[in-house]
Amino acid sequence: MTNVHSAKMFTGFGIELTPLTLNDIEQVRQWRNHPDITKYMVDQSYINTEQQQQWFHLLSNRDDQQYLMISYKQQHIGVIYGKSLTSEPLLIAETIELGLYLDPESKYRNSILAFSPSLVFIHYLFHCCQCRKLLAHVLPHNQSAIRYNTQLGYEITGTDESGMVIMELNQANFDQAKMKLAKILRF
Amino acid sequence: MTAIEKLKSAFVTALEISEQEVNDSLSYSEHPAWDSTAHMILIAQLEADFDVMIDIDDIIDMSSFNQAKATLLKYDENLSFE
Repeated sequence: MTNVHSAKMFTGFGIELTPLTLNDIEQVRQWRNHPDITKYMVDQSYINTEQQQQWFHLLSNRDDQQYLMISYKQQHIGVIYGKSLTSEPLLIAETIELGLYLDPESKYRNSILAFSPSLVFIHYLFHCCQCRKLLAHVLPHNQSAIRYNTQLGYEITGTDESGMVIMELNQANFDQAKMKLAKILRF
Repeated sequence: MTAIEKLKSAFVTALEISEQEVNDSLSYSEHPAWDSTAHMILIAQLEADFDVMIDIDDIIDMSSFNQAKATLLKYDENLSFE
């Protein structure tokens, strides 16, 4: 299977999203292993270099997931990813789960710029793919992520059996939220 | 309301913190309430309260209470935060 998104680059709201490359994965591993990131992950285990390379090798042969490096002013600041929940290719999947983490040491992590990658990627999924619904499972103590998702138009729809907060986003709510955020993110 | 009162009020609203916590040492890396959503609400509040439209680079660089003062002074030199 070929990764259909492999050559795709997305831009908007001041940032660039480019497919993750082999050169990026060590930096991503370090971010992912940082306690500030790990504490909000379902899987909080430490990832070693071998596991990271293995993961990347598997990822490059999948079209149901897409990991993108986020860059601002030529500086890598984080990762955003989408996963089809039905194992269908991301391009035709109707329900997709999105994730994001920013460099824990970056000054942009707690700034409004953190909204840019989600605005760009979600717009692509709703308007250029066949996505009808985005889903997020958030740890209940991750209030920052819940607030962040709410600003993007997500609504809380319940909790799953493990106590994770379930949030859903449809295109209409996203488009409305995007208009509001774009009033401030004036690039 | 004076400029400093308006500024403090904007921080109280955006970060959902007490006025006592709004001081010159308040910065994004020092307070857990300062996240991307708080930053977004803060900017919207400042633009409305001070009737300014802040450049995106200034918005992204606004990472402390002191920086907010400096930025607003850049847009209105008649302001005083004394």
